[in-house]
Amino acid sequence: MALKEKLLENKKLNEQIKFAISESQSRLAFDLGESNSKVQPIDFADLFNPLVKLYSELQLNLQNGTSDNPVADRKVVDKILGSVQIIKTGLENLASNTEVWNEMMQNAGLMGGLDLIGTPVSRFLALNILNGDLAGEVEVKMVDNDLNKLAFEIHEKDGGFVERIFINKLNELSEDQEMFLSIPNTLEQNENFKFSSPEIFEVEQQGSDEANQALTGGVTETYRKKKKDGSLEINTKDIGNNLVQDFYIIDKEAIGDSLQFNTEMDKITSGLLEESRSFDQVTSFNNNMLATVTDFYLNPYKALTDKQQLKFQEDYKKWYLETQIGVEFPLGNPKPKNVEQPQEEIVEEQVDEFAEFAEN
Amino acid sequence: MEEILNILYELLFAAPEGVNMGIAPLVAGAIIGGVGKIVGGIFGAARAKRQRRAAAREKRRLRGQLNSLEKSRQKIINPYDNFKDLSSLAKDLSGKLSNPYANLGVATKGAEIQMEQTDIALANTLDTLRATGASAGGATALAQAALQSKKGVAASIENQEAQNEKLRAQGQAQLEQMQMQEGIRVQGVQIGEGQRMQQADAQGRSFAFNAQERRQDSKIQYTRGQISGAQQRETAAYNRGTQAITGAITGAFGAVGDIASAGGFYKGGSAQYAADRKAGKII
Repeated sequence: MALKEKLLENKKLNEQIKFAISESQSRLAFDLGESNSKVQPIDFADLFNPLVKLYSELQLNLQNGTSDNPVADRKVVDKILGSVQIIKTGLENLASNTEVWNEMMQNAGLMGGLDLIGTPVSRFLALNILNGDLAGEVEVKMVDNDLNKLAFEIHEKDGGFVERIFINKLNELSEDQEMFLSIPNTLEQNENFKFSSPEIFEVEQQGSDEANQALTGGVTETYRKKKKDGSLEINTKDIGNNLVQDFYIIDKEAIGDSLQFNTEMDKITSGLLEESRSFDQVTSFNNNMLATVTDFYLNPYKALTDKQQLKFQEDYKKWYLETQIGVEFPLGNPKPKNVEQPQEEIVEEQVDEFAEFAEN
Repeated sequence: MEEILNILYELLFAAPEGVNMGIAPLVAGAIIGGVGKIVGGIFGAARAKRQRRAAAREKRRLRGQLNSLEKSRQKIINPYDNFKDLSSLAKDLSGKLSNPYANLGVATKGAEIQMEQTDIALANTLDTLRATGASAGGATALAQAALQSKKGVAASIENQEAQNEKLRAQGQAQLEQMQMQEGIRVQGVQIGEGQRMQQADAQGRSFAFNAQERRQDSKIQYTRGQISGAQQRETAAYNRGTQAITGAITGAFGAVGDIASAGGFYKGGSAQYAADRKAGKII
């Protein structure tokens, strides 16, 4: 399936999950009398009963000096205790994801929100269950009876398997990133560029405080499109109520060629490229933001080649010019339509009156 | 999530079915205390971990930005590298000079005409004398007078012609002098203006370079400041996480220690432990 289609399908599934959460939330008011919990607590007994039994036996042997191989027994005891630590760290990591999950879901597909292409649908479900928003069950398993293969297994309320998360892997991942892919938020940086470039973007003082400057949305003279003769290219539009408004065209090409623009855009994108050890964030930004302009998608979970990184930087510039800067901006105040005609009529009337007066 | 966690810790310290760990009521207090501390620790650590991740990412992002700014730093320019040698504008104007006096000629035509006219007048007078029968002496005197007159006229014309020629040459000399002075003046203006333009260009480039450099410098400094801020946040988050984890582990091991010292792991359980201790079997 093409990436664009995958995005659309994931968006649909995400909407379905959100709908299920809303429905569950809606029922809550009516279910207050019921004691059922949406998410069944993790039954650690399943995993730990045999381990605790082993632990206590070994520990007793060690304490009473009856162990055949105290060194090996101590190692096993340490491993059992270590497994508790691993699970504890895993739970910390799960909690560090679930804490921000709602916000991510709300902003899915937007800057600062969830990347719907890069995050598997099973992960949406799993995190919603872990977060307690959807009904389900979480288990801790020792896969292949191996203490090194501890995993969380998440099931839907009807028992359907959702996802298995190996805790060691989760702990490793959590050193650098979340369990889901999010779209980096560059809104502030994009806006800061405008503020720090008054030679391009027009700013206006607000009130009497000189420090209180606001962007007008327009650009300075240099970056307004001009005709061959050097005069400003004006687009006059009917804005209703018998009024017209002149608009100047923003010269995006000139902005795109400016040193200031290129330096700043390269700075922002270099930051994005370096932000994570992987390129997931960049891919997320490309697929959710830049692709709306370029229609070019990158494969998630793959590192970017130098060429792809350069393309990303160039595409960001295109996207910025296209989406973050307006096309035209009003010039002066609105004017009445056909402003000269009534004046001429008045002159004619005056002449006629004078003629009549002269005749009389 | 908290609900889930409680069970984990309960399991760690509670005896599972079939295993007599002999947890006496004395031990229970320690367990509850330990569990509470660990649960709190987990959430504290989770938050700290997220903050640390965010700060680490921020730091990496800023480092990337700093590298980009460093890379995009302009090359040091020589503002005078557009300076050109303007000496080619200075031309040798001496070629324009000539010596108009060199060709001063002697005007003889006037004198010849005058001579001819005098000769004709003399012949006419002689004809008249012959017809009237005048003497030969009168004719000679007349001829001399006529000759004298011819000489005077010729000299006058000659002088006028020479004077005119001289004036023309003087005028030409003056004109050439003025033309050369103008040439020198124009050259001076061209060279001076060229120098001024080059100087202005150098100053302009120098200004643009310095302005760009200052802006770039301030951005680099600002980004460096942000990096150290992110670094501090990362360290602080790490410390918070460590504190939370250390607190939790201390709590857990404290609880384990309490269980052990209360005889939780003693063969026969804590009751046996208490009895053996009372009997002096355990010191």
